[in-house]
Amino acid sequence: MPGKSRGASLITVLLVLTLLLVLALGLLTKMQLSRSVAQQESDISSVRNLALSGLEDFRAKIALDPDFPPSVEGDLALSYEESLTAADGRPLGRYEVTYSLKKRESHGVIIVTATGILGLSRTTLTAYLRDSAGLPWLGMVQGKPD
Amino acid sequence: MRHRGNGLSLVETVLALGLAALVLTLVAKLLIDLGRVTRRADNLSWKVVASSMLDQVELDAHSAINCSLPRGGATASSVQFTVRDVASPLFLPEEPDSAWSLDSPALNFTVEYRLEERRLKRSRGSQEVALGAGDTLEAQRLDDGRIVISLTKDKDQIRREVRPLCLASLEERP
Repeated sequence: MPGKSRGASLITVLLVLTLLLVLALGLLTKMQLSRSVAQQESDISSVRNLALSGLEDFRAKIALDPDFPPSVEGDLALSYEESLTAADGRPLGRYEVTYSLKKRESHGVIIVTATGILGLSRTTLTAYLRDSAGLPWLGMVQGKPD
Repeated sequence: MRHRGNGLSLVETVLALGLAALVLTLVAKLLIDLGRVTRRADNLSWKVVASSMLDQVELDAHSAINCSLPRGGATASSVQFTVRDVASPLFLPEEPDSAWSLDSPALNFTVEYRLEERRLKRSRGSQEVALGAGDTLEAQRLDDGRIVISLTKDKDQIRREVRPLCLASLEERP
């Protein structure tokens, strides 16, 4: 019967279109996943570099500014944070630097912790700065000090 | 009037075949793209793992107080760093005695990175950890002191340039 035949064709076409739609959605999801993984990877690298920038910023400040760090009583840890922007004004993220002077007198060591932050990604590095000529770093570890 | 049969006319057949060809072509293209994206996602997942492996290398390179690679030297397939053990209780004791020194060799340890059985391995003394898969490891120290680490697997490569911060005094830049 011609009528029945046309109805069957319509259903077939609709089924094929649905299949196409499902495939297209699957492809789109996969591509979004790939993009999200790549973005996450890029952010991890950026926050690591921001943390390193924070450490080097502290070293440069202490080397160039005779009033830095300000004198403090006791074991007080001080901190500051700075935001970085690219030459075109695009924000690159920020770092928070916390430093402790409690081992400066006794051991000649300043403990510096820098956290790179970009969106929801963040990473922390702790480094030990020798308080002597050249201000060499003694070592660094991932995370905060014990 | 000519009687119209139950079968399809020529125009309907041509249209149906054309539509079917179009749909099949699109489906085939989508499947090919899907395969391509899947392969790309697999490569990307290796790159994510490789990147975290190089994060570890980078941290040791930043902390290195000595590096086995000579400046401006040839590419090597393994690299060793001497690192201060800042996690050791001897590093910053509560009350340092007269013998205590930040430069004490007892505070140092050596880590080595090398490829073995297509795995990147990190060894510290007798402790050895396989970090992940890789086909080749290339390490080189440039004239300016930077360390270049490159890890490949199949056609993928991941490369890092690291400035060893503990070797970079403000008096003498590497």
